[in-house]
Amino acid sequence: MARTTLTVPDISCEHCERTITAALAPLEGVRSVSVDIPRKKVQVDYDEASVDVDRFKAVLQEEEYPVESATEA
Amino acid sequence: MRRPSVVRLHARGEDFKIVQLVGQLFVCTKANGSCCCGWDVKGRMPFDNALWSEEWERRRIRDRVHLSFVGCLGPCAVGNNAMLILHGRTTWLKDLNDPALAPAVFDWIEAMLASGSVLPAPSALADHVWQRYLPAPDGAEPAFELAGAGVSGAADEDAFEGLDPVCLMAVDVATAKHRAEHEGRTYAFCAPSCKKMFVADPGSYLSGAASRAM
Repeated sequence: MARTTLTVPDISCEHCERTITAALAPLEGVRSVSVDIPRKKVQVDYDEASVDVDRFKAVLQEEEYPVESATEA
Repeated sequence: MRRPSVVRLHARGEDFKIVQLVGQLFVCTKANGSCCCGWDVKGRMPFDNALWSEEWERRRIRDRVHLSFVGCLGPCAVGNNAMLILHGRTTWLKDLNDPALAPAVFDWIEAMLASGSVLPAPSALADHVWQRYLPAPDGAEPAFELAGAGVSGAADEDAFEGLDPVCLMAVDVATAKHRAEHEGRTYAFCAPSCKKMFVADPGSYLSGAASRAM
């Protein structure tokens, strides 16, 4: 399993948390999604064989939450 | 259009516009350090934040009643617990171990908001309400001295100016990245999610009339 932390500057309130969690959690291979609102970070635990960071970026872009950067844990 | 009442407060060298509330619902949750509420191993219904937060959001009462998930409220033996402050009156809710009780609580809150008064608990909640706090020694309702300057006790025509009408966070309409027009006025939002929610049903955020279709 892999872990990535995405920096998403447009995160602001709990509605963002709900939108982002609802967008990422159902993706095949995603184990957990944790949104840190004050730090504007999204931590995703996932199965590398099923999904990747580019997919997360694309999904969040569709939700109008562009990813500024991603760091692997 | 209903306008929220606001108070202007100063903190950390800045001025803020804060929506004044009619009340607040505090729900004890395991995630926030509760020692009993939500613990199924102790015979309580597992806690489901969404059960409460989605009902609260759906009813568009954020600008009148705030919802807080909190740690231990105290009376563990009768949990799951919640505490409601509305129209200056505190009511405790116990034994909230049935999912149907959450909408019942919000139905009651909405009825009290509509009537502008404290109403008896409906039959669905009759066995769940109680009073934990003793009355004030002199029997009087607590009186609070408001700081006179800058307090808007009445509805403010420009109350939404500088506020995201969905989450009520402070935003600057001039610089906000997320904005929407509605009936000739520009509203600013803290984030895309709030804008989408508003655009889908603007009237409900401005009138407080919840869209039951959500």
